[in-house]
Amino acid sequence: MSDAQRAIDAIWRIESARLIAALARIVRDVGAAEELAQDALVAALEQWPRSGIPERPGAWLMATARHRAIDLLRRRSALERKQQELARELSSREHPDAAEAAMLEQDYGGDDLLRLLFVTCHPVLSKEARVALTLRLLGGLATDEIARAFLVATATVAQRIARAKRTLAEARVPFEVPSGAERGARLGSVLEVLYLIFNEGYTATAGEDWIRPALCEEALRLGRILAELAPAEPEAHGLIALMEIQASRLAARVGPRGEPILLADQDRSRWDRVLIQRGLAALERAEHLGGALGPYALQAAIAACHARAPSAAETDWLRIAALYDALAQLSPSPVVELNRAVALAMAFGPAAGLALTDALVDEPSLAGYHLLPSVRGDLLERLGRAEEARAEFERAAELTRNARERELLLARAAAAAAGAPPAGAPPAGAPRAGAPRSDPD
Amino acid sequence: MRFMMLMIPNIPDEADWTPSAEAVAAMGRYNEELTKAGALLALDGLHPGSKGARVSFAGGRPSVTDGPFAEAKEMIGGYWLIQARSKDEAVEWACRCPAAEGDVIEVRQVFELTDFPPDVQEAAGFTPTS
Repeated sequence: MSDAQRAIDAIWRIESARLIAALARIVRDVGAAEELAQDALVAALEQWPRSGIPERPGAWLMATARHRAIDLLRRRSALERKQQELARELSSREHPDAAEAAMLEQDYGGDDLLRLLFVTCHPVLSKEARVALTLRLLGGLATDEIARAFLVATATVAQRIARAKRTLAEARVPFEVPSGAERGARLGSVLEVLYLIFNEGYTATAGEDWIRPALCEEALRLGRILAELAPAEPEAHGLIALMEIQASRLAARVGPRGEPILLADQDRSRWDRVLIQRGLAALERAEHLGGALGPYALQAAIAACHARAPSAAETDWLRIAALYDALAQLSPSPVVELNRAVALAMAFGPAAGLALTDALVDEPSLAGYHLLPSVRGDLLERLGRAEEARAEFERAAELTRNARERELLLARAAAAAAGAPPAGAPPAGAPRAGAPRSDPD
Repeated sequence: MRFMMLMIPNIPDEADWTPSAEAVAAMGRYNEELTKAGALLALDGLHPGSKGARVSFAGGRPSVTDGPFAEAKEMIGGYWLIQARSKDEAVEWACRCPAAEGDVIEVRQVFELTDFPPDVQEAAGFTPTS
């Protein structure tokens, strides 16, 4: 690639989402908007290597794309006239002159980007489609990059994106940020999509290594943009706080051979202080907006307790237990209950935690979940109930799909049977290897 | 990836320098743009080197020199820490800075531990846990 091409590529990365967003407002169709933006890119690739890169490349791309958008609107309206549709049936916003006037008044900027984000995360689309379309239109990722991130065929992603654009057009999804009662649910979908992207990078279930941090960074970037564009939404700050704090542990949570390192065992000097500070600041903003914290802000507050603790032993488990109480009331789930049990055990002793897990034993959604018997084994062992602990560890070993974790669990089962803690076990009080994460670490 | 954009302003270090309101406003808009793009992680401006000190190491021991410094041509005046997807993207952000005539911005990628070879990672305490 020549220097000019590399520069154009970088400019495209920075400008494409805003460009597509502004065009989508004009032509009211995200598919057409993306094509127009691509056309402008092609024009830049033709002209810039000869003429040099303009002083304001974003404005150049926008002006070029706008001309084409207006042409498109004129052709559309001519076609509609040919089809003998009455001009007054055109809503005023689809009328080229009105559209042109609106464009000239309104500089492209954040509002369009926010609208685009709400549209690509629209509930009329499947979750996979929302994720793919958001990464494509707002992240500027190529189809094959998305495919590699999610270990699916490029053709599948291409089809998913094409179908999503068609669905949006057919459903006549308006290009706007919803208001009133709809806003909350729609914002929930936006937050969910960003957190899905983040977790795809964070939990490393699939995909090539290089793409994982890239997905986390992309989710962080979009989350920061959302918090800037919707500053009055506490959960926008809650989500970015949660993601920044979780991302601060990226370097500490995996060993050199790719093995996971649990929160309690992580080297905290390896936690990223810049991200922690950003996360704590975002959480503060969510809190200052007032009202009860939402589920993302609550999870961020739990993550913040860990981030503030100088060592695992100094963790404020009382506060974490209280936050899990609030989270369990707000968005109850068996996994939240299990985490709450761990927090209660750390705050008030193993018996308190064990009592809570008793209620989860018959929970169907946890039937194959190895962390439930793993937690119970840990708590039973701490209560001196060695035989029951052994049975739970063995059950957990059967259920886990991770070979290394199975080894650890079997070692703990054997140690419980022998009535001694396994060699190299962490000090009493600290959650041990094989014990669950007490929060999404 | 992360990049540090180091600003080396074209002002004599000992000068009693204050920026114009215009320049400050332009820089504010630039920082806002970086923030709205989700790219900005941190930024700071530095007091002049004349108010700082240098600790140099020779002969196995530190020696301290207070500012101003005789040979101070290129002093760092501040930095931005940004997230970007490539060096080209970081360079493009630097190109957009409303800098003054003669200013220089040095763009440098921040090391991640995984950029180092395994033996260095191990020396940094990044050893397998048993």
